[in-house]
Amino acid sequence: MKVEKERTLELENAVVDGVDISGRWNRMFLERVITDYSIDLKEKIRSIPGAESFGYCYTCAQCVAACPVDQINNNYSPFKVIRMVETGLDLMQDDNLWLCTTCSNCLRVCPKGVDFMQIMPAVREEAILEGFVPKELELALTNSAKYGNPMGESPRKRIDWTKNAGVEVPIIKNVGRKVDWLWFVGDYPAYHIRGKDTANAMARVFKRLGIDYAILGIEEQSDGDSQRLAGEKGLFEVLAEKNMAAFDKYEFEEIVVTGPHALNAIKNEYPKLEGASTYPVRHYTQLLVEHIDKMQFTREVNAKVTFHDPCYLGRHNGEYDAPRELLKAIPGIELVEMGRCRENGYCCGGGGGGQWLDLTEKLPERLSERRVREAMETGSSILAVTCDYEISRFEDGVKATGNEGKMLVRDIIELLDYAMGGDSPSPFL
Amino acid sequence: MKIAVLLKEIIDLVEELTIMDDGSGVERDYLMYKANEFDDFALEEALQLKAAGHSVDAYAIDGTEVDSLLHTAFARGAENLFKVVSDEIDVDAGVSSRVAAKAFYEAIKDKGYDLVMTGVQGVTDIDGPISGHLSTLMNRPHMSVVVRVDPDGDNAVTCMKEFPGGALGEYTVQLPAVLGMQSARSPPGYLPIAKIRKASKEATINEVSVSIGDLPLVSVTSASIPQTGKGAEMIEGDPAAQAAKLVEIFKSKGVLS
Repeated sequence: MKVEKERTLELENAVVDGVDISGRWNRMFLERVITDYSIDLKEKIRSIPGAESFGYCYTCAQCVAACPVDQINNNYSPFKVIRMVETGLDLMQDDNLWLCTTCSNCLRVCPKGVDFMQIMPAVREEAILEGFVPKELELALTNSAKYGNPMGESPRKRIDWTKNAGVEVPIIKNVGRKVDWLWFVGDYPAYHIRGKDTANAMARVFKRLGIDYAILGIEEQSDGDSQRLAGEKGLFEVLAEKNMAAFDKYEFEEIVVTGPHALNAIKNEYPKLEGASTYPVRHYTQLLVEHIDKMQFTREVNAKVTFHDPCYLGRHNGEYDAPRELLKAIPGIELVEMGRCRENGYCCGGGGGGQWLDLTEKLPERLSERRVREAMETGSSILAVTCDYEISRFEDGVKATGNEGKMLVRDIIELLDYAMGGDSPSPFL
Repeated sequence: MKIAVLLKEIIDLVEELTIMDDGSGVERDYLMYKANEFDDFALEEALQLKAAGHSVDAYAIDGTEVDSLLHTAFARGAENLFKVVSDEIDVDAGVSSRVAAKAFYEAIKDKGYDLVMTGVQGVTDIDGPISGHLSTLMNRPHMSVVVRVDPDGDNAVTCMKEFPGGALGEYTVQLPAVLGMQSARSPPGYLPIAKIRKASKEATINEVSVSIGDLPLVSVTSASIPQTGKGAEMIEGDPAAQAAKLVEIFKSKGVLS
């Protein structure tokens, strides 16, 4: 970026409308460096529907300290991206386009409402239509379109996890009646080797608490929210339409989801689609917090625990208390907060398509690794999570930072299940 | 140059194959289908030629998800779409290469194509790939394992053919001709779903009804899942002991004397 000292102009003698404004009273700044560049690239971004607020920035740079990516790569933050575009960067063809995790911490502090949660998906959509898409993202998108899950797993195997739950997991097609809760399981709980542990734990906890529920089974598709945020709006629409068609086939009072991304999709994004209905939906912590008095704990979890706020449960959907209340309800747990928590929680890096991207040149350390180092500073032995992306991200982060054997990553539902006597993995090192 | 690209759907191995109880073949009820990757390369290379001013039509034999296959081809740039249908083909039972070649032949024989391009193989080929059968039926020059095609005047193309070990040969092929494509000069890029959805609304699929007549076909007498062998022998010990054991094995097999 070209940087010059600002030059000023002062007229020694100037009288305007009879008022003498000679000398410093008429001081004016000369043209700034920005005018050396064409505004075309910025206008190109600003003209994309959804990305209009790219032009609102008045360079206060509040977002720099808030941006989790800037902590790893100090050439990146919303402010810096805007300045780079102003000074000649074609964002559509640049890796910087894919770094934003849409965590929304910048918008929280932005006085001008520059909304990267709208800007980035809109610009990414244009980039994808023009053929610029990172290879690893391409695979996740192709798999989601073909198989309904980003991993490219067999659609028929979406219910394989139920075999190891130890309790019957009702599938709504077979239940044949209205249920209280339709449990939207999600891709990672259904397919990921550790995600399945959370799904199994959920089934056992629901059973113990007498919650009347059923799952969609093989009719469930990826919620599509991260595909949308990665710029594949068309794919999001297809997945949403398939899920809504399945919802509409069955009778239930409310939807409960394992993951905050499904919560965000069903609560905030599906209703925006043409002809879509609104479905009442809650994150599982929001459902279970109402059942704390019924929980019968048979084991203590005597451990110091720190909790990572998922961006899409917290900042995007305003829920900070339910997960904490559940953790505090478990006998033995001492909850310790990390420096960045609640509204200022640090992103794990998995949102906005980050779960499937590996831009190691731009990100020498993963955000999840940095977060694990923060969690270690609390002296906790358990990093508690409640987002379906996070078990895999943080367990890798624990290994990558050399902390294997010093910290465990557990979903809150696993801790609840263990404390109630279930078969979830031990929470002790 | 007028180009026809022939597409077929193949079994997607994302789902495990199971054998029917009577052993007569693969259970098809739960199978998924996808575009044959080699056909995708044929279309991609044809579209590279289209960019130089040639025309590209896409043909596919009726099947489970064949409309989506043709819409995708349209979204990528194919101009006219043709679905080949026949009362004599039971698409649910799978279409052999020989049947596919005959059906494609009947569909395109009078259309005056200069170049016919299709995938060099597919996982469902039993009795040889389609391009070979088709060139015989059409009595035209044929080249397979082609990785790049460039026009050479009005009546020929230059084909790059791949050989084992990565060797490439350059050939002049007189038109009209049939090519079995192994690859393309560049892989097909990601196709946004919005473009496929737009194509599904805008594109017209023309049905071509054909008769295939009697063909000498291979029939399946029995099908079974391969038996698992006894597994590999792990050689234990320090590197010197492992090396000594390897030498002993090589000698016993006659590799070393």
